Amino acid sequence: MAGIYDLVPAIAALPLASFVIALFAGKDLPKKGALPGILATAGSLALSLAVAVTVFTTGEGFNQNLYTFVAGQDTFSLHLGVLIDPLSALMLVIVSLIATLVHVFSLGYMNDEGETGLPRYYAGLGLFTFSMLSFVFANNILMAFMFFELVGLCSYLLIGFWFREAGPPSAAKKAFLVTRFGDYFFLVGVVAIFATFGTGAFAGSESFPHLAELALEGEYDVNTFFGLGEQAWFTVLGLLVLGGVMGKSAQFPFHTWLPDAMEGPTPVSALIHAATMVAAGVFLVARMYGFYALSPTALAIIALVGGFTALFAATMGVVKQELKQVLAYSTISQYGYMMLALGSGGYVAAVFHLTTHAVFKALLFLGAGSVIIAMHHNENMWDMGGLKDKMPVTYWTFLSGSLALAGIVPFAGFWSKDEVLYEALIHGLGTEGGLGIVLLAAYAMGLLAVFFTGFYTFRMVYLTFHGEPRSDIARDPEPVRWNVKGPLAVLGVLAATVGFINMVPVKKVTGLEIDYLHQFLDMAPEAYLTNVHHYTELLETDAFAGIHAATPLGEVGTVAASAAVSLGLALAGVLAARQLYNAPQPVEHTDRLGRVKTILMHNYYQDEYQVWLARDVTVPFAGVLDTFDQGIVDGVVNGASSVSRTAGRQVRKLQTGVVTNYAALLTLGLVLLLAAFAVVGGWV
Amino acid sequence: MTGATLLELPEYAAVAPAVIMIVTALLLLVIDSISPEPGENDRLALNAVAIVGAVTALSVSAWFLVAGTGQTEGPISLFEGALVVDGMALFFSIIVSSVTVLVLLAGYDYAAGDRYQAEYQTLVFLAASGMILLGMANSFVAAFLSLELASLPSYALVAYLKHNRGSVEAGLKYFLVGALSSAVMLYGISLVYGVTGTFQFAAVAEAIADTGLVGILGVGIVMIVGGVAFKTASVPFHFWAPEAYEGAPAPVSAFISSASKAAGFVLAFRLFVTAFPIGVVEGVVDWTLLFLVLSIVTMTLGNFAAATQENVKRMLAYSSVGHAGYVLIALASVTTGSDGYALGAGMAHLLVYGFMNTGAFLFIALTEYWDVGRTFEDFNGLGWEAPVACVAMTVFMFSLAGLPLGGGFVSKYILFGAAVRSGLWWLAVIAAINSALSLYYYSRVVKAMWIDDPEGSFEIESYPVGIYAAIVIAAVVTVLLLPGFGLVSEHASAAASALV
Repeated sequence: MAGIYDLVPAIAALPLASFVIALFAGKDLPKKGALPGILATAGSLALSLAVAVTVFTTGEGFNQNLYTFVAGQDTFSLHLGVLIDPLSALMLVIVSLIATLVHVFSLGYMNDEGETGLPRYYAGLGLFTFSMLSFVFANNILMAFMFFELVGLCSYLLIGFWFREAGPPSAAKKAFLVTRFGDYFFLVGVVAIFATFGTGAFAGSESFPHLAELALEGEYDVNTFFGLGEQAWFTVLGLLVLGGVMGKSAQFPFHTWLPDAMEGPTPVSALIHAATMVAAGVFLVARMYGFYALSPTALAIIALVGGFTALFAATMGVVKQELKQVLAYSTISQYGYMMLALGSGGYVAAVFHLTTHAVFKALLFLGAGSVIIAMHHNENMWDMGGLKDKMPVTYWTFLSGSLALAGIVPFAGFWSKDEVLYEALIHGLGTEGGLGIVLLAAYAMGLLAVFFTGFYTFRMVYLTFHGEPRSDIARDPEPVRWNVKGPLAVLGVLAATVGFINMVPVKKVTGLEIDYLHQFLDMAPEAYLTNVHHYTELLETDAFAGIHAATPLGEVGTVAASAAVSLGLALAGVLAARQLYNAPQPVEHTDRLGRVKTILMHNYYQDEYQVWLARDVTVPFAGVLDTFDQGIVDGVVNGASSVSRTAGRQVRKLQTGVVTNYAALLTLGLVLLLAAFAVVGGWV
Repeated sequence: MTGATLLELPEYAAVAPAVIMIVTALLLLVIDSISPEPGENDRLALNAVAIVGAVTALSVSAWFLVAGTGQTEGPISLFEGALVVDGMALFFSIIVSSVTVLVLLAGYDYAAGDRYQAEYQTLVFLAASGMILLGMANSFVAAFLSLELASLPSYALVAYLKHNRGSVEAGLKYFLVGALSSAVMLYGISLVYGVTGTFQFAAVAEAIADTGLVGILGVGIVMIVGGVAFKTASVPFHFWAPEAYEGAPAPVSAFISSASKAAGFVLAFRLFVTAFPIGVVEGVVDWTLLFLVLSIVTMTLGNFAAATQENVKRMLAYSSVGHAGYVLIALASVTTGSDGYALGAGMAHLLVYGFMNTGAFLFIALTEYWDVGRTFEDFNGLGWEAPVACVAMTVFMFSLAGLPLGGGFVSKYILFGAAVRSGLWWLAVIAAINSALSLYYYSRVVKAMWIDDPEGSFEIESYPVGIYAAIVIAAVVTVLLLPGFGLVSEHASAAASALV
């Protein structure tokens, strides 16, 4: 089966082909480019599955440079290459699965709604999928950066798809600029990594995570800068790359672009949130986890940012009026959990949550899309109600996704979120010093967010589907077709079941070896140094991260207690929402929050302060620079040019046209040179 | 394959490029003496012989260079070491013969209907043979003779339009300044001979290692620098250049400013690396410092003067002075024990310069042919009348300024890079500032051609084939040298490394 790895580039090339077809021939095709897109992504899915199965059955990977675009002489070279290990194989399956379903769903959401500009839309989807798939199998950080940027570009194009309206172009620009701000740091980080290690490879004994490990053990020399020690410098590198991660994965304080990005078509939101743009950030940390595992400071920051974002975004989701806004904040919050897991040493938990979240968040967005079709693009939940009986398929699948999001047993989100919190807890308890305290604080925030998650999720469900219809449209919603229901059904079943791939609590209690995802991720070839036990080893080494686990109630007891607490909080949230909003005519309770409501509705004034930063700090600062540029730099330039013109005229005067003058000047020049060099050379 | 062929050739065949030039010159004189009043047929015959001769010289030089003549088995030394054929000699032979081909192509129209066309071509060939020999000269005698062989026909060429006052005046000035410079150089040579007792470059280097007469030697070296500065049109021996370039027929200006300048530099490169190695003469006269000073003064003066000109041809003349300043960086960047990087960069720049500068002057030849006028304003709107030529001129201007539209960008880049490598980063900064200034006056031409509205209408009756062909070839080569620069710099640095 080694041959299957030769086809890996085709996984990305197929959507690229669909991009080209849709762009140049889309308007002449029957579905305006949807069909090539579906075929291409389905082909990618089939290949990805084949690759994943091959990795699973053989335990072998693939790590090869395919193309060298800059061959360095006496220095490093720049490559495009492929890295297939369990992590990237899994992610390829997720991305191509979601992309396929989004393409199918788009038939209902875009084609059936009579949108114009569809070839552009499908071209965008194709390019987006291509970029993300290439990013996933990138074998070095420069290639990852290139496709990371391309992902950002595609999201800009798709969020701004309806560019004739006021909102989308502005939202697209915001998404682009905010993520780009983070990417500056990433770019600096990439350059710094190359400068430090001379390689950007992710896996293998020549990879930069491994070289960093050797450097800390004193077995390898790297270039550090600014007089920093090796570990401090690696922390700086990790944090620089983290800038890009936080931008893309919408972590505080770079999360502000994401709610605005809801201006894009809903299938695009599903793609962005579940499998591509936002997932790219977290995936990158997982990809180079061997590097982060060396730096306790970087891990602490990741965990803290993640825990804080999880709680912070969840509280904002509580007061939102619009369906997609609630989902947007839940996305931010859920990626916070993944960061929390990564920061607290729960590599498997993070990948697990990434997987389950991809499924249930895609489901929720597509379900929301279905509701939006039915509601004639009115997204306000207060105008909905009672859709449960009118659209049963949407309701039941949406419910499955909501239970998963809220973390109710046995739906997917419960297992993964529980594992995230469990990892944070045991590592927080077991690690000494500041890192342990940080992890526990992050854990506490993550735990608290569980309650809010349950609450806002079921507030959304009750307001949308339960009670009496509160508007004419809700009384007579537009029916949706198979192309909407099909993807929903697939994802609905998955959202209920995908959690079974890694039931850690059941494993701990019964002793059955059913943590399949853990085993799968641990199957990465030894030589790649990307398997779980290598990461665990790094984390537990005191010279590196120094993270240890502690289970004060015994393994079974701790896991049971942790699960019980988080499930209890989730249920409390759900019940609170049921108490407040499961009524035939629910009323707003947000006024009871008093001034807190205002703060929440304004998203903690995050946008305001960023606008203030831009308008009242950056613009005046730019103004000062502009004055400097206009007055001083241009002044110098203008001065230089007038000086040079004057000087030039003087030079012209030398050129009198009289040849005897020339002879005199020439001789004089020679004599001057002779005299000067006679003195310098000491001839006299 | 070439290796086998070369073995059969006698060693003296290595001077073939120069010999071909001389033979062609004589052949042209023979044709002219058979038919002194040329008709249309004779004109074709003359041009055919001339162009075939120049192309042959170019092909032979290129063939030798690629085949490794004088490179793989060490330099070929001839006539008791008076001449030497190595990679550098062949490289400059290519530059000189390329420029000769272009100038002759343009001369087909420019000198059409002229009684003295054969003389014109003969003089070009004789000067070209002098320049090629200058690249091969390995002793002071050979160098001086070659220099005069290159210079004397050039004086006549500048004064070629003998009923034109400007041309005649320019020729006389050129001759007088040239005679003075030759005298200075000859005096320098005699002083060096007095100290060392030999003319042969390598022997000079050996002899000065243990001489006590540093003062006489130093004066001699500085005076020889003067001779080189004259040929390369460097300050303070540059005064003839603007006058000669402006007064001469434009193809002659192209020839002198490109080929003659290159020949001056090849002499300087060989002379100062083999006869006065910096490691040996450092205590007497630090000629890198001397060239450093000349480089800064030359580029600055050339560019500043060019910026204030109203006459395009005169602007090009001063820009040519400025470029001499850039190439002097190569000599200023030579350090003790350095590899051939700096010299290679200078050689590569001279090759690129040979095409872009020749092309620019030939464009002036075209405008003279059309009689559109000489100032920037006279070029207004020309782009819409003669788009092909003006696109080519745009390429030349931007490439001369160092924008990545032609090879001028890369060659300047590595030239400045050579300065940085030798620790003279501030020299690179000065050069970059000069380049930025040069963009101002180069882009004035482009702006005039494409953006400004013409004041009157042009009376363009015909589009001369020869000049057009020459301009287009020069432009295409200039552009191709951008991607193909690696090939040039490879040969240049190999040739330079062999010398150092």
